[in-house]
Amino acid sequence: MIKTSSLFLFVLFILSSCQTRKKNDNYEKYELVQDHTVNFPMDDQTSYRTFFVNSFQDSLNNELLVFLAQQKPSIQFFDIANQSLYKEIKLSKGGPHGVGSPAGLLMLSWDSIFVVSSSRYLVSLINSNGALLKSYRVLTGSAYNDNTGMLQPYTTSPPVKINDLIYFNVAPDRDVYKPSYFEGTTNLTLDISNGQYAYFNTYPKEFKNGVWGVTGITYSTTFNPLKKEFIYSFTISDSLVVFDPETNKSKRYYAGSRFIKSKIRPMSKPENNHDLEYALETPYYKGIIYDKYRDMYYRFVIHSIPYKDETGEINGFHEKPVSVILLDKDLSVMGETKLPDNIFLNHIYFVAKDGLFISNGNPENPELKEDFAVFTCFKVSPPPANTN
Amino acid sequence: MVKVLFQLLVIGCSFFSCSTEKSEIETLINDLNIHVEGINAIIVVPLDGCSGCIHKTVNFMAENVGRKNIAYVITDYGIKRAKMMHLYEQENPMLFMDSKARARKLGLVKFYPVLYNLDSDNPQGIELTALTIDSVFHELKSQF
Repeated sequence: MIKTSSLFLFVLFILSSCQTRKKNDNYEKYELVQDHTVNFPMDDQTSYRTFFVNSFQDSLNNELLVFLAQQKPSIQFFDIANQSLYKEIKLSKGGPHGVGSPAGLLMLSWDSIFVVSSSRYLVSLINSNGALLKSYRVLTGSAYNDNTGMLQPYTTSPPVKINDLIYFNVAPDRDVYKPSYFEGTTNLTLDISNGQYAYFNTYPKEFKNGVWGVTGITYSTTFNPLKKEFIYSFTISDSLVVFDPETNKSKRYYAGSRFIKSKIRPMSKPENNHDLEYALETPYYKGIIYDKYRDMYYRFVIHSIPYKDETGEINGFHEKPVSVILLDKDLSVMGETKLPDNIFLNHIYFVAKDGLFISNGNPENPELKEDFAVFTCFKVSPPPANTN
Repeated sequence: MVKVLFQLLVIGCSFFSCSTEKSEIETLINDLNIHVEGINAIIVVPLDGCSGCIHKTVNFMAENVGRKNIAYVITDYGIKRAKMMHLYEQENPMLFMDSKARARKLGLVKFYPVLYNLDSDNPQGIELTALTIDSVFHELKSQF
């Protein structure tokens, strides 16, 4: 009997080892390799640090970087091929063409650009001259409350238009240090034909009964236009949530990091004073972006670091190590690459024909140039079979 | 002036979050080579964080930077954004650039500007939040 049990345990051990190896192998099938850098010149009123970048292909097939200069404010378009300014649309914060303080945008064509002011709950349709064509407010009166949310039109969650509806991520207008925050709604649609808006969706179940800090509440979205599906990457979830806007149904797919070895824990002291310490010591899943050229996805992960360094000084949030999970068209993991420390920023990136471009703007980067937005182009190696 | 600042900090700290130890503000003073003679207080202004509070503080600074008893430390990674806000070019002895964000590393500032009273034996900071900022600035102005 003992002998049989031992044999059974031995077989079980061998089987589980094989499964672990197979799972880990998936993380090494493909990797991201640095290919080249691009340098976009910033004028004296524009910082390389922006909430919003994206790529855009115009009708002449120019591949452009769309860059929101928030403080100026303006939308700058850079020709990716020759790394020069192609066009700039100046924005007004107030006045007859005012769009508020811009936080992000949706570029559909030269004469159809939706600029979003999160703080004013305002979505403004402008043309290529910056003239205001129409504006929409997604708040009734001036009173936000538990049932409203602030638009999040950033690089990590760009708005998406389907027919007359624009889809946004929102941050619930609730106290982030109370578990009830995670019962708030996470998405909003704006119907541009009549200005009506509606909230829907909420945080996944793993957020309930805990508090996850200011960083933990953010989440990223990308849209797959072929499948007409949204993919959500929540900070504490190793799974991705796939949402079908036609049926309003969601599915989950495992897409965890090999660098996050245990379940992410909530804040033990849910207060502002403890948030930075918690945020540094906690790993998070961050941005997700679909690559239409290779029919695949990239998911960013930021790892944990100690609150203080060996000299007793507080570490910077940007010093958290970063890795990128590569996922195929069916959201199966096909690789995970850790980026060199203190060079890149995990929240400023875009996909273009050449690959995934990640900002070199980490404040600790010894080669940081404040008058340029510098990006490194990463390519998938070996090249995926379905590269367009 | 000194008395009022101290009272403000004591009252403020009893209601709002205060932080830090003397050694940390002293480290920053040394790192940035601030000569503290005649200075009663330092306002540390992060350029990332509560934008409304930062703008109010920058406006307060613009109006009052000529006063010799309050120093201002602009904390950011780099100098570009300080330049964009026309803070960097100002050749004012009361304005100091912390372009390596030392104040953050030392835990002196997080999301809000912070006022430190140097005259206290144990200078604590008061965060200039939406709740405190107007009353603190009003009180400071009334003492000028």
